[in-house]
This record gives sequence, structure tokens and C-alpha cells, in this order.
Amino acid sequence: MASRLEDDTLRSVDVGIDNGLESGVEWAADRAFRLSAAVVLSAFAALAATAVLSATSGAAGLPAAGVVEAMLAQLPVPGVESPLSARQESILFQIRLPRLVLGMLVGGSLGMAGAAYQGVFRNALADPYLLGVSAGAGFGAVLAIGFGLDLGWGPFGAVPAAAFIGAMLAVSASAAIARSSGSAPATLLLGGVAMAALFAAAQTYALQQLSETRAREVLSWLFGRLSTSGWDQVWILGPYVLVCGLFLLAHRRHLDVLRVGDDEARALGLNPSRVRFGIIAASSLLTAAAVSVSGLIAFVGLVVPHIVRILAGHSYRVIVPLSALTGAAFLAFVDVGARTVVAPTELPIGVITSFVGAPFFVFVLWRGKATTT
Amino acid sequence: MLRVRFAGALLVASMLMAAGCGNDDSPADTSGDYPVVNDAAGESEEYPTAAQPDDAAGAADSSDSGVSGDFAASEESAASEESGDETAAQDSPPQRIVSLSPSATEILFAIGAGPQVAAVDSYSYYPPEAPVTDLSGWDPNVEAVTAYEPDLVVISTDSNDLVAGLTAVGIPVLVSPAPSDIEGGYGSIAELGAATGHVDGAEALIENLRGEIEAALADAPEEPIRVYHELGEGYFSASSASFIGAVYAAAGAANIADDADPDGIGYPQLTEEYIIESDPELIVITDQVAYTRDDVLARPGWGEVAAIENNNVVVVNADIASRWGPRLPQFIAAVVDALTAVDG
Repeated sequence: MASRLEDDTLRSVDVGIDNGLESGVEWAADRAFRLSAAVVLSAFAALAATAVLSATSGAAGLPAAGVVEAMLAQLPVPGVESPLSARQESILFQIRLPRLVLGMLVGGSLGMAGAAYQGVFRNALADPYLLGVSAGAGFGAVLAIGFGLDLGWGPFGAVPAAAFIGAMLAVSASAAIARSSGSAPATLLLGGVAMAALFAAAQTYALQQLSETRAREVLSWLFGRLSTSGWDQVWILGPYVLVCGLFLLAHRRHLDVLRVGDDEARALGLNPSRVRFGIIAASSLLTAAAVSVSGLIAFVGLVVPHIVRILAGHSYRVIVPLSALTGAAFLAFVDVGARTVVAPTELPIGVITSFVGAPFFVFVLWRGKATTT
Repeated sequence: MLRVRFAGALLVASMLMAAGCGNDDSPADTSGDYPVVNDAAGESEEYPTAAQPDDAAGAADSSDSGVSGDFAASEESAASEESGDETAAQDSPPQRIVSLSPSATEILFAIGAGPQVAAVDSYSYYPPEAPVTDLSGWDPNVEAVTAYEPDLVVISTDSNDLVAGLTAVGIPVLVSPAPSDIEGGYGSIAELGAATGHVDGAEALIENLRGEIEAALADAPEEPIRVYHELGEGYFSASSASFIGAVYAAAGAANIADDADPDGIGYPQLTEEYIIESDPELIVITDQVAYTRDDVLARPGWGEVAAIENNNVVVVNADIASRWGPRLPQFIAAVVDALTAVDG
């Protein structure tokens, strides 16, 4: 399964996958790839540090100590009074914190979905972008936002639903192309690229048909943004993250089994196609939900799992949860930059995800190569 | 990432289209008093260059940015239009004008050039008698424009290499970019008057506008009121370097977007935190957004903002607010009314 087409840069990743294969066979032994407490703790520590940094920085220079005290004052801690004015409090609790939480949810979703795609397609380059999932979700969401589709069903809004349908269409088409024309890893990606192009074109066409007002709303969303109206977007995304996240966490060991090959998986009592479908559906729903609230934010889904893989090991039992935590910390951190670098104006978050992520990714690749070879 | 950048370009383009195709690459100080009347008399030789020769030269050098490219294009066309003056204006004024700029369409009809207009773009729906077609000023197609057999094409920005394409087939083009302040707008009117043989009509319109605008501004409150003009989604605003912002500046308001736009780009994207902390006393939104005044009043976290507390959120007609043209006094009057209401 190591790809012949991948170049030297990616071979270091493949080395890891091959290591994982050996241990995957000894899966029952269940030793080498347990989540170590130290790793989990440091991931949580990074997340917490990002949260503190984010809560205390922003265009409205709130005093850092005041922010901490105001947050403590929300807890039933006796004797703590919030030193912030009413306006500062509303900035903190209605603007800054919701955005921080939204960034973490979106980043965690994209990181986790990226890890699951890479596992289920056994391809180090699989990510929501390359597989056309984002473009499909974007097309669905453009239709839903642009034409004001009212398909809402209970708490489930029309936009995530339409984004999910688009995402599933794109990813199934990519997978079908790959299956029908041989299973070389490149075929899947090329199929994904074709689907991404197709859906991007459909999206642009749909945009052209919209009125100026609608088009501007959709464009602003496509740009990729972490804007939330109070806590609304957090409540919209939260349930998807909870359900899909738990599903993927529960199935993360199956990704290790799938990696060994379908026959071996069957021998271990797994129905490969059913497991694969479940994981793809959950990842696509997660991506679609994230895309529907935040627009298209590239890079996180591809890079975060690789960073995790190189730093913390090659089992998906480790990669999936750590990708969620790292993705959450990464996007929240990047958003601090989006909010503060050119304050009081805002930088598009997609610009910074690549600006921060790409050099760091190169650094990690370079270091990883140095240590594994 | 490609897609993000593409969407970004489109978004900015759409904001600029919304703002009457404004490409204000010269800051607001574009000389408030260059000789507009001389322009109208046909001596337009030094019209754009006289204002900021350095800027124009710099812009022509850096051809990769759309904004400066447009400026360069307007330079070129000002020149080509002059040489056209020899033949076109002196022989006979154009009789089949195609306007791809809503602002220019309004001006053409107001100065009496309406009967010469053969076709206008899909957003040029004012005045009602304008011959609206499905031509796009946003994403123009040279062949579609030539199908109307124009003898003058008026555009506000040179997208899709339209100027080069039309020039290649011998059709004169006038690039009439959105001005960056009210005085600059009079220059645009004069330029259109000179190009269409309606110098007198243009002068009359300018005089009329001057009077109406001065009258409207005379009622503006003395106290500088903190104002936030929201162009649309994403908290894009208009600083004093933009045409919209220039109106607020003329009315003596304190535009909260100014501190966010030190380079005078014109349309900064503000962060929500900054807006709330700036505590605007008046919030102005347009009627071409997907949300309403009530939505703004109910925005979470905005409750402590003076404009929200005192219910000072007004909706203006986006077409009138974003287009430089004969209906500008209506926008100014609406702004002055809103400011007065806050003051009183």
C-alpha cells in the first residue's frame, strides 16, 4: 500500500505507515500504540494555552487580568468581582469567547476528519480539500444560503444538510472513480481533484445566478471566517462534533485494521466496506457541518494529522484524537493572528492557516525525515 | 488555497461593485480644488495627473494590483479620450453610448445624454428609462459589448481587459472610476459632459448638486458624531478615504473606520470587537444586505453600544449611497438627518 507515485518527501510518512502495518498485525497485543498520558496532557496543555492567549488578546485591548477575573466572577467563586465594564463584558462573553470556542470546534472537526480520511483511504494526501468534500459541501451550502432553501428539520439547519449532501456526493464520486479505474492511490486523488473542479465550477455558476445581496453573503462565507452571532454557530456545530467525534473515536482502532488490508480485516471479524462507509459518512458530515458554519478553511485537515503522525506515532488510535486536539489548538491560535495582526481590521483566516501552517509543516517534515531515516 | 484567494478577489470585487465600482487608490486628499470647471470647458489635459502625479506614476509601474491597474487604465483612457476628442468630440458627439457603470448611467441621463445611450449594464436600472440589458459591468464580455455597435463605452473599472479589447476594434472607451470625494465627483460629471457633447448640461448639474449638497450639509450637527457605516457581511466599512466615507467626513461625523484604515485603502474590514469598543453613536446599514435593522439591534454583545441602546440604526438605499451620481444629495440628506437625530 505504500504508494509508488509519492515522492521522497512523502516517503518518510510511508515509513511510518509501514511501521504501523507491522504493529497493526499484532493489533490484539495492543501495546505499542496506546495513547500515552504525557502526549494527551501536552496536547491539552497546548489547547489550554491557546485558549488563554485567545481570550486575552483582541482588537478591543481588554486588560488580561481583567479578563481572567471576569471569567472567575462567572463561577461561584466568592469574593471575585468583575473589573470590566458592561461593554467590555459583552465583548468578552458574546464576541471573543464564542469565537474561540467556534475556532476550536471547527479546527478539531477538520483535523479529525482529515485523519479519518487519510486512514480510510489509506492515502497520506487524502484531505477534505483534495477529495472534493469541501467543494461539494461548499456547493451545497451555496445553494442553501443563496437560494434560501428552507429544508430545516428540527434543530438541523438547511445549510449543514445541504453541505452534507454535497460532501457525500463528492466523496462517493471520488471513491467510485477510484474503484472503477483501479485502486492506485493516485486514482483516488485524481478523482477527487476532478470532483473538486466540477463542484467549484458549479459553485461559481450558482453564485453568478444569485442577486447581488445574496451573492455577497455567500462570498463572505466562502472566504472562510470564524464569525459567530453570539453562541449561535457554536450550538449549531456542537451536536455534529459530539456525535461524529464520538463515532470516529469509537472506530479509530478500525482504521488501524483497515490499513492492514481488507482480507486481514475480514479475518479479524470486521466488515471492511461497512466500516469504511460509516467512517466516510461521519467524516463527511463533520466536514460539512464545519464548512457550513465557517466556510472553506483549507490546510487544517491535511496538515494537522501529519504533524500529529510525525510527532506522536503512527497508529490511528493516537492520530484521530490528537488530530482533533491539535486541530482545535491550531485553528484557535491562527484565529488570534487573524484578529490581532492587522487590528482593528481582520485578516482572512485562510491566509494565516497557510502562512503559519505551511512553514511549520515543512519544518516538521524535515525533522521527521531526519529522525526516521 | 487557490479557491480561498479566488473567493477573496471576488468578495472585494463585489464590495467595490456595491460601492459604485469605487477604486479609490488616491487617498482623500486628492486635492479638493482642482480646476473642475476648466475640465468641463474641455481643457482636461491635466485632470487626473495634476492631482497626484507621483501616485499615478507609481500605479502605472505596479501593474499586478487590480487597483493600480485601474488607475493606470484611467490614465490611458483619459489620454485616448483626449485624442478621441479631436475626432469624436469635434466632429460629432457619440450617438450609441454603452454604459457599464450604474453611476455613469445616472449621470449621463441627468446631463441630457440619455437619448444617446444605446445600452446599459444589468445594474444600471436607474433612471427607469435607461435601456437595461444583460450586459455585465462586473464580468464584461467584449463581444457582447461590441454587438451594440457603440461609438463610446463608459466603464468604471477595466475588468477582463475590456479597454484593450475595445480599443483593438476601434471603439473609444472612457474609464470613469468612482471619485474619492465629493469634489472629485464633479470632475467625473464634467468629464462625461465633455465626452458626450453635453458640457452645458454637466455644468448645470454640477451647479445644482453643489447647491443641494451645501444646503443639506448646512444642517449637519456641529458635534462630531461617532458613526459606523456597514457595507455588508463581514463588517466591511467605508473610511473617509472612500467616497461613501467622504460624505460622513463632509457632514462632520467621526468615522470609526478611519483609525482602521491608516493607509487610506477605503474599505477596511473591521473586527466586531473593535466596532463595539469604538461605541458608535450611529450605525448605518444598506438595504442590500441579507439582514435587517432588527437583526442589527439584536446582535449578541452589541447591547452596550450607544447606537443600539438609543435605537440609532438607520437603513439607507444602497444604490443611492454607493453610487456617485445625481441622487447623491438624497444620501447626504439621509445621513445629515440621522446625525441630527442622534445629536438632538
